[in-house]
Amino acid sequence: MSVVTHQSLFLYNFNLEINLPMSQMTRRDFIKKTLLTGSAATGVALGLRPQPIRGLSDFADIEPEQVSPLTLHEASYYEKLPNLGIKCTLEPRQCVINEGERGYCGARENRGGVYYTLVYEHACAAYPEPIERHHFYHLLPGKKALAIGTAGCNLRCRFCETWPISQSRPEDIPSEKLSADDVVERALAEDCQAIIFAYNEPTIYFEYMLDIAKETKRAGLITASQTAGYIYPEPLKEICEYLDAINVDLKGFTKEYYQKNCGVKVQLERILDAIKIINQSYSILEITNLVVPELNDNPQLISDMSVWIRENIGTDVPLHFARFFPNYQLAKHYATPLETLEKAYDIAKNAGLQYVYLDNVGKHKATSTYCPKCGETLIQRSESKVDIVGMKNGQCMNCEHKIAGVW
Amino acid sequence: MEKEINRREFIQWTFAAASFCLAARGIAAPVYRGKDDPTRALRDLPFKKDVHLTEARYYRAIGSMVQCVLCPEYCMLKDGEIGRCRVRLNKNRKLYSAVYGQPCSLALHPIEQGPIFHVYPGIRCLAIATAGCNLRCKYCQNWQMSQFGADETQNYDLSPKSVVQMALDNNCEAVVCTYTEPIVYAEYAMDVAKEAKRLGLKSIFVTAGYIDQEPMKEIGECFDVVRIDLKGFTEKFYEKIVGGRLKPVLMALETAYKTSAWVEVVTLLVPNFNDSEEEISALSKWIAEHLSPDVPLHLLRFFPAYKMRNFPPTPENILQLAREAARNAGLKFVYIGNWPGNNAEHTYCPNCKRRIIQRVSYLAVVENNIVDGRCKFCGTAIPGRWS
Ligand code: SF4
Ligand SMILES: [Zn+2]
Ligand SMILES: [Zn+2]
Repeated sequence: MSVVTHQSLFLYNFNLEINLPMSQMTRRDFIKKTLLTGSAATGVALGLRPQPIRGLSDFADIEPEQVSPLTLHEASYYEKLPNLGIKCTLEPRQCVINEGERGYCGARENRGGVYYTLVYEHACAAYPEPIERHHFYHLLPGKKALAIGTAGCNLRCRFCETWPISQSRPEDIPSEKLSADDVVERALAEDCQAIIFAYNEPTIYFEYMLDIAKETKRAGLITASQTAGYIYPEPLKEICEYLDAINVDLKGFTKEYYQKNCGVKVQLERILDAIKIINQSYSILEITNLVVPELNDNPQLISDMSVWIRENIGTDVPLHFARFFPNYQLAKHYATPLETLEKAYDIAKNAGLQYVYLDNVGKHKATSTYCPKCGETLIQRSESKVDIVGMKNGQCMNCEHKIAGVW
Repeated sequence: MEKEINRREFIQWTFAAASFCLAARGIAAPVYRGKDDPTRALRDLPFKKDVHLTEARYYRAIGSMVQCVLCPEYCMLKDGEIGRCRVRLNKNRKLYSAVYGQPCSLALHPIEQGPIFHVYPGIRCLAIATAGCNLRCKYCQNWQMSQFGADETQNYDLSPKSVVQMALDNNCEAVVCTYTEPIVYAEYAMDVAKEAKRLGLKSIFVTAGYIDQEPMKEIGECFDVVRIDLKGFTEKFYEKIVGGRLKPVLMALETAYKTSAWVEVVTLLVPNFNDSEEEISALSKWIAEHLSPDVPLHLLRFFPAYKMRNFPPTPENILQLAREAARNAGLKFVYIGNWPGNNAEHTYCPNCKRRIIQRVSYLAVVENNIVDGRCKFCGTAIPGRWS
């Protein structure tokens, strides 16, 4: 067969060009050269700087983005200890920090016996995004919000989907110097109707969050926050005054799950108490549960969770089951099967919850809002499209049932 | 029992097929290896000079990064970075496809070359492929396209509309997305399928099934036929030879089977890697249990290619043993491919055991005894899409 010669010829070429020189080259040179020959040989560029595939990014010519220098802003919620030590009283971890050290979150530092936050006015992310993207379905549906986040987090979830931001230290990732005024200004300029604290745990930029929230309220916009609920009651109550909506990430329903996968030794009750506090406050509450296959998809736990919500919070709190996509330390795991999510949906519905949603599932009927009384479709969601079809002034157009939320 | 064809008959048929080939130029040989892509049968089309980007679907922005959720790689891409498949990239918090409307290969061939045996036997198809793939099979037959990015191949400029028009102009009855991995150009493929459906053509998706459930579901609804590779049945094989993972493929197979599309499964047997009887038996049992015993399984012979040029082709007796194992596991239609002239390239009635479709390799159907979806001899319904 003539094909065979052809093939061996190419084999020879292949060896000559790429494999042989490798011995005299460093890995870096080799990769550079391969990249260069690759793009030169074709002469057709993508209109971008040539970028390697994932995994080779360290060797690419990526211009470093600006990391703005750290600034200090005194933290709230800490106690002074003897010998310049301090104790953080923001959340139940209660870090005891010696002079010159940082808390577990990496965003707060003790300098000379005074506790400072390093991320005040250092936003790592400030992007206009659809509100639904942050698991708020009963808050200004279809509108845009400015989502804010900084570096650092007081949890270490193995499945964190925003890990490039939350699991970095402030000096390691690019950030933008944005005062509370700037944030509000940007929100208005981007046509956003709300500001959402998201990406990392807002608790760790408490002071920044509080100032932005106050400023936002003054400008007449809506404020909302995501949180894991791992925070002490006092700071929580203080911030609740300024938040219109809070979405609590209830990660699992056992202490062991939190300990193994989120890096916190916490009594589950603490998180549940935080949820109760939010429920009693002025902000509206939504709850999100990220379903990770094999880790927290046990139907019994999902049922326990739904029953707890019904008994302690009420049946009209929206519960979201979010689909997990492999990420961070679970990058080799698999995504949540749709069947698992559908099962969870049924369990929660059967437990009596009125608003149950599936998130991150694209086109699915369980992403829409239905009237709990007459079953009419109120808000139709399909991928990124949101249509308010059966609702007016927060009421079902069919049976006038009042729907909980900010509309 | 299965009827043997004798040597004389075989030569006759080969001759017939060869002349058929000459007559209908463009029906390419099924197996090729070499530097040039010999499937390019429509040569006079102009190539495109540059690559243009079209916004992709199936992604989400996470800060300044973007996570593509199309396939189980779930690439997290920094600004300007390209995914593992080499054709999807993050530009300013949006994911773009670099291959939408820009196939690098076009060819005409019969549907049997899929291999797809239980769907409209003998129809002529227009096959399209773009650059890029999300897997790294060491024995890839199409690595000239699959293992390169869109800026490294020569591409045509063909909107979904023009693809379908071209199929009609060339008397094709179906459009098939094949050769490389249509997953990486899912948006384009689905638009082609929708357009094909609108104009009354069939659409076929030939994939390795390394895809997230949700797009798989959507593809299953768009396409008439989904032909999926189940390349092996161990995570080790997938990790070492294929460069992917088995679990998501199994999930995709189940998802695809639940949709309206007709599903056929292909396994290429690489000697000493995935050809043990136990493995084939386990694989077939899984298909019979989780999909259906009616799903046709094609066992393909491996030929040295790409990075596995120094491995021998699959021995014939291994293919036969594997076929026996698959049939014993309960599958009703097991074929052997890439081995011209073997007896397992025909379809036999599961009831009366007579040969109901006779084929010559992937080239032609020479006898079809299926009438209204039933065996002509005994009236047993044969699963598939026959008319
Ligand atoms: S399709 Fe491409 S970019 Fe998307 S996850 Fe798969 S390999 Fe990555
Ligand atoms: Zn109603
Ligand atoms: Zn029969």
